[in-house]
Amino acid sequence: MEAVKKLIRYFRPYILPCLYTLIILGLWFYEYFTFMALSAVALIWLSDIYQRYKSPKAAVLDKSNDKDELLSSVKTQNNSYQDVTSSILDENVSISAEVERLSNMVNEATTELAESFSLMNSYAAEQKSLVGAMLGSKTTSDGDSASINDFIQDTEGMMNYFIETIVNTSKESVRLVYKLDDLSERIVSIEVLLKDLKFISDQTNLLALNASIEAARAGEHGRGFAVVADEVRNLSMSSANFSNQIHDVVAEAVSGISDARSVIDAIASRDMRFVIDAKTKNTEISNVICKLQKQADINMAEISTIADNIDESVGVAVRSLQFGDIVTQLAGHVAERSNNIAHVSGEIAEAISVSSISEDESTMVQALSNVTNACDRGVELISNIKGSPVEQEKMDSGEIDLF
Amino acid sequence: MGINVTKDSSSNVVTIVIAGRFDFSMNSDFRKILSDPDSSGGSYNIDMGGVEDIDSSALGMLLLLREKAGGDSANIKITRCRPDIVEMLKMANFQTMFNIA
Repeated sequence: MEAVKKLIRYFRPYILPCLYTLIILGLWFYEYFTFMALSAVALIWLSDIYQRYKSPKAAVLDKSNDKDELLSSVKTQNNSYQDVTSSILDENVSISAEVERLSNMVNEATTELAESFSLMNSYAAEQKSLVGAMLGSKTTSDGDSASINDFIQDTEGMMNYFIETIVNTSKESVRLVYKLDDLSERIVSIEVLLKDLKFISDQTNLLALNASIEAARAGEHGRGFAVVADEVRNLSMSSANFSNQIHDVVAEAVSGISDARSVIDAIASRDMRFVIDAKTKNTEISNVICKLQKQADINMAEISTIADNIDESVGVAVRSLQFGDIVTQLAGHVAERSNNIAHVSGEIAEAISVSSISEDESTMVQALSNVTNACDRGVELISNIKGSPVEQEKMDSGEIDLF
Repeated sequence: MGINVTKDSSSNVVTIVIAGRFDFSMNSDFRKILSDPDSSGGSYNIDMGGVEDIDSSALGMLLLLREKAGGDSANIKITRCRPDIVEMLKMANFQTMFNIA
């Protein structure tokens, strides 16, 4: 079947010449010479067709410039291979440089980030300790809140002491007034006694008067008695005089006591309303301060919690910065792969360059086989370095779970 | 105005009704209560419903009455005080020494 198909394919372009032959045969009936000439042309044509059918390859190889063309095309291809290889090598150099830049940048960035996070951590710790100091100040009685509490208590204590003192002073003043009243009464009783004394001296005076009358009546015999009677009368008058003096002193004493009483009255009578106002204000201020302090305590506790959260977050961030190591490893791996590609393309380029030098067929076949071998080795080399270093890292240390 | 004292001899309770301004001017009336020998050791009921204002001498007099009535064992009831006067009594810590109703 194949042969038949081949035949059909070959003879398809010759259908027209066959028709032409048939026309010639028709013409043969009319003109013999023309028939002969055209028949010769037809025979040459048919022999050519036969030759083509018999060995088509030989027909191609017969062309003397075919080999040269092939060689030149191989050389052209070799040149383009070498161009590609040198591009790959250049590209590899660029990739290596860029990978290095990448890993340097990542390293710098992670170092700076680690530093800034560790600073943040220390600030958070400082803030926390400050807040802790403020919260603990109540127990250590070292902070403002404690002194405010003390101040409030001191003020209240002082106020109470002040009130107690005023009330006690008033109590003792009233008691003193009662004592003064008693004293006044006693002094007034002296007045009564003085009246008795005055009565006695008046009586004595009267008696002395009677005695001098009786002495005058007795005449010369009563002269001595009259002198005595006069003396007694003088004494009674002195006594009355003395009694008057005492009366004056007592009156002065009573007046003095009265003055003292009014002074004590002023001491004892203190208006208590201003103390109430002061105490009420003090209580109000204390309440406000207590409220503020409670709020401050709550806020400080919240600040402390926030500081803890910051601490924790910063810790997580610092741990996360280990991604820098992994990126560096990945970059190294990329550079290695790029180097392998360059190495393989270099080997292939070398093998090709040998083939391009030689004109000998067997050497070229050997060179082509070298190229194939170089390609196989390249494929093997590249397939050997497959697999991510990060996965290996992960197996080695379980710490880097974030990637 | 002033002090009105009534004594229930059967229950030995002295009722003192005070009106007006309770201050030093009442000290002589108060003295009479204090110097009454019969009432010592008895119970007192001080009606301050009519009191408009008090000063420290009033508080002193009340303390003297408490002393006379037996100090810590005294039984003195202060009734019908106006709120501001109750406030003043409490400020002087009287609620621990008297029965303020």
